[in-house]
Amino acid sequence: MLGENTIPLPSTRVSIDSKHVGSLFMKHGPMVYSRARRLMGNHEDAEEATQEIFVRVITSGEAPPSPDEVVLWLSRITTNYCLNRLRDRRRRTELLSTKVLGAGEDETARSKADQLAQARALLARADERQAQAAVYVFIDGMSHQEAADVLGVSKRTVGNLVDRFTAWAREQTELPATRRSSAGGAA
Amino acid sequence: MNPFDFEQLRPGKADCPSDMSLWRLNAGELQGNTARELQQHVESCPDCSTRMAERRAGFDTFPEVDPQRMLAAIRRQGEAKATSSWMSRLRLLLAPLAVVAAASVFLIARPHHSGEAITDAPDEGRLKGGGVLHVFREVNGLGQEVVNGEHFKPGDRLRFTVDLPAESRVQIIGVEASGHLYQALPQGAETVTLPAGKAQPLAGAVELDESVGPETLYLVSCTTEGAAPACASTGASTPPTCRQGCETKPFVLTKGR
Repeated sequence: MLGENTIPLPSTRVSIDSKHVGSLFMKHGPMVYSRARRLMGNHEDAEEATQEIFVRVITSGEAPPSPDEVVLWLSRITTNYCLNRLRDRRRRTELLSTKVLGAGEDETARSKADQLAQARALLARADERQAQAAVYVFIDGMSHQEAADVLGVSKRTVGNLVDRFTAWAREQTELPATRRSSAGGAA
Repeated sequence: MNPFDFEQLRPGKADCPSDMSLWRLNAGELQGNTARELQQHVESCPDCSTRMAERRAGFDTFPEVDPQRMLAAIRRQGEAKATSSWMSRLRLLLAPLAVVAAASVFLIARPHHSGEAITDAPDEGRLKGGGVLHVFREVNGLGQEVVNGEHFKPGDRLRFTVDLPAESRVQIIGVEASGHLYQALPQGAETVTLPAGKAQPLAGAVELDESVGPETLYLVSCTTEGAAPACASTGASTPPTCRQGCETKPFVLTKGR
């Protein structure tokens, strides 16, 4: 029985609405934008992604799993959104498929930005789960355990996903363009 | 492209923390040894000091971004798209709160009510890890959950629920910007013992006083054996120390006008 001075608070979490998104955006917006910028490669796409992600947060009715997992939660949403956008962009233009994947170029001369562009090209074509794991481990620099926590899978599964992605990426960059597949193997 | 170049994409050096870890550190989502070790690394690593400074600067790191314009667009689109069904449902669920909303409130650092333990049976689901603190702001007599780091005004009234992985002795303490530590809840006792379970309400409420600036609340959950938590402040930006067998979970308040 509740005490007389007790308010029975809700047992389910309350969603974030448009009135309360401000503090969430000012606190975590820089993380979402930074991450989107790194994944999408330019300001315009990153800004669009950031905007759309927070709109979805408002409209989806979804809430962070707990107050100290907001970064993980938003990071997961951002990664999925950006990977989908990369795939869409690839389908629209196919601009990533040849030039940036050309084998035999002088790797040492490439800047980190070039490498990121190449990574995007591969991520846009890779198996979805493998691409997610690759983003967390290679681009974010997460340990397999950290990536496992974000993906909601075991550490071992992350290792498998990354290994498959790496093997697939190696195949993509070593074989002639005509033999490249459009997606990695099943996770 | 040599696939092994992926290893070179990661920010920082091989032993540097991930982007995610630094963002979580900046957001106050990490605690205990994890936070301390990361902070020590950041202070000793020039690369990570720079990475952390960028995070602390927030949107100032990105001069190409106009956050106010972006936020306005988010609100505009969100309000246009949002349905009000969940809000209506929430109002129905929480309507009884309005009836008793005035009870058991005290000013931070100036308690003037005693609290009472909750004995309703909690959710039986087992939880992993330590306890989780959920904070609710009273809005028109309803409880609106707020996120870590949210901004608050003097007079805001806060209530709490906790998720516990095991039966625990629980208290909520606060550490002010000055480093001063005080006990917020329970009122009139050092701790309240709660069983394992999710969304267990704590009796009583907190009303924010006139002071402004950052302030951190900590859920202290301890094993039921042993003495009281006996937490002591270690400063405004670091978790307090408590007796062995106790864990702390922070919740950062930014108090302004």
